[in-house]
Amino acid sequence: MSLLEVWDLTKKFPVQAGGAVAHLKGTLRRLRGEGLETADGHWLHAVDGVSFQLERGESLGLVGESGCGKSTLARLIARLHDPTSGVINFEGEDIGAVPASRFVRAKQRPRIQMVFQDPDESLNPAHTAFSSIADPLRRLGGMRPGAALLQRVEALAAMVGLPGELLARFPHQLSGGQKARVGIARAIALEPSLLVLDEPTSALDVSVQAVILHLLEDLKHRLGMSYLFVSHDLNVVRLLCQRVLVMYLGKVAETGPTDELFERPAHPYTRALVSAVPAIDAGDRKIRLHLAGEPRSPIDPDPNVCRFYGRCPKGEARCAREMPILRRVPGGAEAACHFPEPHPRPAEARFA
Amino acid sequence: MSGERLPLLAVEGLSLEFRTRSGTVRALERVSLDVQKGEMLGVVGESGSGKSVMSYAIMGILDPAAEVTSGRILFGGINLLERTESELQEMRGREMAMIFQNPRSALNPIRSVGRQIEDVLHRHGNVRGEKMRERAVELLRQVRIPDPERRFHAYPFELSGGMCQRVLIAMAVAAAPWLLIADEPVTGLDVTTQAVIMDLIQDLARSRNMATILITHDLGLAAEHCDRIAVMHAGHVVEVAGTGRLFRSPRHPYTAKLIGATPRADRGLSGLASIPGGLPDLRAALPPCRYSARCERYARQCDLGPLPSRELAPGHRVGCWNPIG
Repeated sequence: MSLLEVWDLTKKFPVQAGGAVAHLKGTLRRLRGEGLETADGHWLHAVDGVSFQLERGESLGLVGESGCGKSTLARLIARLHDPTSGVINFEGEDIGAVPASRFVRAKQRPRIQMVFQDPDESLNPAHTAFSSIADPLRRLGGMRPGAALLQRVEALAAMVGLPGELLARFPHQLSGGQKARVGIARAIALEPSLLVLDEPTSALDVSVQAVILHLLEDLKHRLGMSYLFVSHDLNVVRLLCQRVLVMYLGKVAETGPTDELFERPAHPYTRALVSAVPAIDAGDRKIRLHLAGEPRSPIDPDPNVCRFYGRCPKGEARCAREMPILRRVPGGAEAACHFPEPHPRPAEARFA
Repeated sequence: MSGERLPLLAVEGLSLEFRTRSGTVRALERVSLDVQKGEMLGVVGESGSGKSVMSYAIMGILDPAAEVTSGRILFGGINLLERTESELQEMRGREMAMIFQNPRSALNPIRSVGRQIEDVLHRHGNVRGEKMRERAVELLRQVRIPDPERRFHAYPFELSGGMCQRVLIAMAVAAAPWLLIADEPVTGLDVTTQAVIMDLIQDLARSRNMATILITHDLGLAAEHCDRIAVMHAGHVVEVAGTGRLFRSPRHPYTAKLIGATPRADRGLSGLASIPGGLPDLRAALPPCRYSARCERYARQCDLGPLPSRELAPGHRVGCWNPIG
């Protein structure tokens, strides 16, 4: 059994179209408790029918543009949002059915932890590094202040390479890399089986990023955790993840083994994404695939039109009639496209 | 200096300090750089390396607490540091322009983007009335904004981050400047949008023979778009070379580490270098080489004289006593 199985997960947010007056009316309706669907009934489809599995000890990279729903998906799995529909099976139980407000007391709560993007916004500025790391141990781990807690926090600090004398400091007295370490120490304090990382290194300089990536890889092996790694940096995902899930406007565009997906992307969006990554070596540079136009609106999208239609260099009439579903393509990946890139035969393959 | 042509911009031995309550921050020390017409120069380094401060000094938009203690900034042969504020105001926008990291925050939120471009044209562009409007729409078209006549009336909040950056680029090039400084122009944008914006900047620079300084922390971006690259560390320019040469054979230990620490397609995690330590406190007494405390090639001579500027090959300058190779 996989550690995490997600089936047909959907999250829609109600939105008010039609400017300030409609917005005010909607707010009034909400205040009167009339519910949202009595409004004009527009929905933003942030995550739309996403399914995937995550094995124990595996790292899955979640990539896509801003607004594609990758952060919402991460937050659904960390149970910070309630799904609109779908199943989140974690260690054999459907945790998606537990409301987020009650999940705090669920037995799975300590098993799923999250590392946030910006340590400045996720660490309490009035708490020392020590109290930030001790917080989950006290709230979820049932530890009382005392020698055992002190010892545990010091051990965690050592594990993430944070010098013990920095534990008395407040976030503003720490560097970006040190704050990132506090955020990681706090997340691994309860030895979770699943760590959800939302752009954990995007605010860091490359020298610090390199250290944090090494640390994350090391911790994964030592603690046997699985990672759900959200990032916009494909080169970072490539270093840390065995499999990748590419999202486009709430849907999975392509998923598969990392090397396969980067070397032979089947979905036109994946191809554009991979070709846009800047490379130091001229030999690694791909012919750039420019995407025309702007993405389609995620509000009330037509369920029969491919989300990438209009921006896709391959778009044909069929794409506007029939939503492509995820299908296995040669090479082991799955792509949601009617016209996936043909897989090169072994004779043509670059490294054959 | 590279070549015999007179550079459009030459920063010569620029030292700059900030007087703060907690001490004097020596933000730049004897920084020298030059940019030719039509060239794209990358300035790379970690946060705190002084790359943005240097660009503010060139634009003359430094914080009042900053004090230039030595050096010159020659732009077309004249020293910008000797110009009055009103003379600089005439030059900014007309002769040199700058675009910033967060495009939305650089735009006026309650004025349509077309009007904001017209404002620049009104100040510097020598066009008036209907012509101004036509010119603004034409600029929106040049930065490849679809449906420019309609978008002329759009407000920044109605446009995506990438579209806002295009508007800023349109404003920056409106008065046909000779020099464009792009300070982290695509940081925070999606990778697909990044590629489009960078290609746009490069095409505009080429077609206008405009000099561009690209300030970035992303070595891959600099490698793809720049002709030459200057590497900065803690207020020093530690290495300058042609892009291919810099990545093929970096001579300064910091440059080599920075390249090694950048994730790339052909190397696994085990090949990813990390740089020990952090930037030194620029308020404290500093050794001649500000990298020496982090450096694996540190030798006693590094502490003796002032940091050298050695030309190891034509156009390849290194500030190091014990360079690689």
